Amino acid sequence: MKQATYIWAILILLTTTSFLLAKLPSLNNLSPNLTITFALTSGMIKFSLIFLYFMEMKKTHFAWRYLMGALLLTFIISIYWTL
Amino acid sequence: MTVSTKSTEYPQIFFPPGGLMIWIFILMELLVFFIAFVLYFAVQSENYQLFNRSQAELGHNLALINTLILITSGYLVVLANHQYLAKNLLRSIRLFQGATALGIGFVVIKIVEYSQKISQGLTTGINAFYDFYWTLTVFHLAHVVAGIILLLFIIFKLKRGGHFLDDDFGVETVSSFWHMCDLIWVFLFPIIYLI
Repeated sequence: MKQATYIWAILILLTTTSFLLAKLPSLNNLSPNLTITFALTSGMIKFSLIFLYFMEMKKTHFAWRYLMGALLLTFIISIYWTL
Repeated sequence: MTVSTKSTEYPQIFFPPGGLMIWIFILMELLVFFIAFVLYFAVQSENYQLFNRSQAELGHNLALINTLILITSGYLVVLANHQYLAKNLLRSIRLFQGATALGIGFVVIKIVEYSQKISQGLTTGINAFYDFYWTLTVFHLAHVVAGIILLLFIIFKLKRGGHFLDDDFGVETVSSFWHMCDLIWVFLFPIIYLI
C-alpha cells in the first residue's frame, strides 16, 4: 500500500505543479511545454497503472520498476528538452 | 456462494479483474474521449486565440480542487479494494464511503462552476471552445454520477455481507469504472483548463 500512497502523492504533485506553471504569473514565463509535460506525465502514470491492473501485473514488481523507470526517464528528458 | 468463472483453458487476458465486459466498456469510453481530444486539438489549432481567451474565463481554482478530489477518491478506492481483499469489510466500506463523498463533492463543485458559467451567459453556441467545454465536461460528469451510483450499490452490498452473485460484477468492476472516471479527468483538466 506504500506504493499506492507514493503514486497518489506523485499525481497530486504533478497536477498541482502543472496548474501553478500555467497560472502563476511568476512561473508562466517558462516554456508552456513544461506545463504539458507535467500534466501529461500525470495522465500517463494513471493510464499505465490502469493498464497494469488490467494485465494483472500488480504483483510482478519488476514490471512496475521498469515502467516507473521509463516514465521517469521520459519525464527528465522532456524537462531537459523544454528548458 | 461465489462461483469462479476463471479457467486455465483460456489466456489470463480474458479474465481481467472485474470481468471482461467492464474493460471493453472502459476501452470504448476511452476511445470516445480520445477522438474528442483529437478533434479538440484540431479545432484549437485553427482558433488558437479564441481558445486561449475562452480558457482564461474558466474557473481554474475549482477545476484544480476537483482534480485533487478525484485523484484522492481514486486512491481511497485502491485502499478500499485492498481492505476488501484482506476481508476487512468494515474498513473497506468506510473507504468506499470516503470515495463516494469525494465524488459527490466533485459533482457539487461542478454544479457551482456550471451555474457561474450559465449566469455569465457562457453556454453552448457561444463559440467552438464552449461547445467542447460543455460537451466533454458534462459527458464526464455523467460518468462520475454513474460511478457514484455504482459505489453506493457496492457499499449497500458490502453492508449486507459482501456477497456478490458472481465474479463478473463486484468490487473490482466498480473500482475499474471509477478509475476510468479519474483517468479521463486527469487528461481533461490540463486539456480544457490549462493547455
